[in-house]
Amino acid sequence: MNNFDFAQLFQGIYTLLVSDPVIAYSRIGLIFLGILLVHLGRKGILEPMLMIPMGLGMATINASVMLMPDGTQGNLFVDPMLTDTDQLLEMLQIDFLQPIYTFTFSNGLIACFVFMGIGSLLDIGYILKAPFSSMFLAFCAEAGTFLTIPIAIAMGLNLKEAASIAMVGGADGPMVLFTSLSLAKELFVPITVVAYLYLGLTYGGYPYLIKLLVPARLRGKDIKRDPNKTIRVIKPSTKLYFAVVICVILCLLFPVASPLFFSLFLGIAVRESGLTKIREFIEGPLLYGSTFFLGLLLGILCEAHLLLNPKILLLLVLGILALLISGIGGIAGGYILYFLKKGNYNPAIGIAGVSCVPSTAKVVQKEVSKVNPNALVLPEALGANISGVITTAIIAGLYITLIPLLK
Amino acid sequence: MSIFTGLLIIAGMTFVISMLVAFIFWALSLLTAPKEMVLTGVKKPAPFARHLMVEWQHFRSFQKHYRTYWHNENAASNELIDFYHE
Repeated sequence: MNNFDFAQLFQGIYTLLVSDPVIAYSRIGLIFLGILLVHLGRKGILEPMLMIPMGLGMATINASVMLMPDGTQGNLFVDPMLTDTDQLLEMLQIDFLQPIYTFTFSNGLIACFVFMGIGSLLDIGYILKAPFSSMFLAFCAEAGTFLTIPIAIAMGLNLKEAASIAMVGGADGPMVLFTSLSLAKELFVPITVVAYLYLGLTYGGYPYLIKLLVPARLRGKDIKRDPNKTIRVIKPSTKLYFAVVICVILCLLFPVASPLFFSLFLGIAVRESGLTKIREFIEGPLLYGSTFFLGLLLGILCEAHLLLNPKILLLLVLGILALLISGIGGIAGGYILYFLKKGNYNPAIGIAGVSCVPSTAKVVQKEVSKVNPNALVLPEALGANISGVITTAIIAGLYITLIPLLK
Repeated sequence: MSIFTGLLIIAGMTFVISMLVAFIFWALSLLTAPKEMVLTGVKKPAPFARHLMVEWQHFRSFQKHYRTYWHNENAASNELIDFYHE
């Protein structure tokens, strides 16, 4: 007992005391940030489904740093930096979240499961009714995905890192995870955390952007639909054939992103083929289970040692910039359609091209209804919203394939 | 190839592929000959007229229900009062 250091009994506190002050303060800061995320999730300010497991994970992992048998600091949750196969096999039997991380997270499987779930929720009938305008708006709402790259390079990131953080402009969490895993593996944890934090904020921030860029006179504009025009009722079989054809074409073009395309269109195919039980499984247990573990693992990965990267501040700035530019690009697209359709279009719909399904479409309808309760823009907004998912997947495919070729 | 040129090419390719997808959407919706609803000549009723129409349908449905009850169940006259108050 003479050599026993009493402080070592409470190793969470002991490791705080013996750590580098920057690490120690970061750990304390992250514990409080985690608690704040749980609180904001509970209040509904941020997405609770993601923020509650993520916040608790973040707080817990930074509290439970301990001394490992070899004298280094570590934890019993997960070690994401393992590369040696023997060590990995050992850790799979020790760290309780290591199997989920190794077998679902680091290979992008969890992102594909989430994408499958999103696919099963998408009704592509909205795009089939106005395919060109929906895809055009989605393209315009990718402005942040393109324009953030030169800004990020000017701020000191390399091209692959710049492309990964620019994907936040596509506002699609699984896509950011998948792209950063392929292009900037060393930064994928902070980039994905930044992405998911900001995606929760689009619901709160975009209404202000709409109010700022679209005057009330145009914001309340209802789209006049010609009663003499034939309305096509899109059959489920049409949607199924569409999913099959587009999936095959996109996979032919970008085999690197084929797991994402396959997952998205598989979800759509299951939805439209009437496989009720499988659809219920994909859009229920699979989607919610994957989202839960995604949030939990993201939180667990927010350990101070892993997250303390000098580039994190840059990523925070660039992430919000990417979403802002995409929002502006979407509204610019809305204005272009407004002029092309000779005033019979609501420019606010453009922001729904930012593919945060279905948040941005709901935000648009909500803002339009505040000015004109009789205006119905939700079908057009959902068309642009769903097109946004497809466009972001196309850009992810292009980035993963072409960015490594650029110098 | 410079980064700027590369990004321009990627943006251009994204636009072309997006429009290709839109074209496939459009072509498929034509090829599969969907059911069509033509709204030509259909007059949208005014809200009050629609309200009256709905009320009339409710009344007709009640009347039908009442007749079935009366004839099939052979209800006594006092039960008829209960039926009204249900």
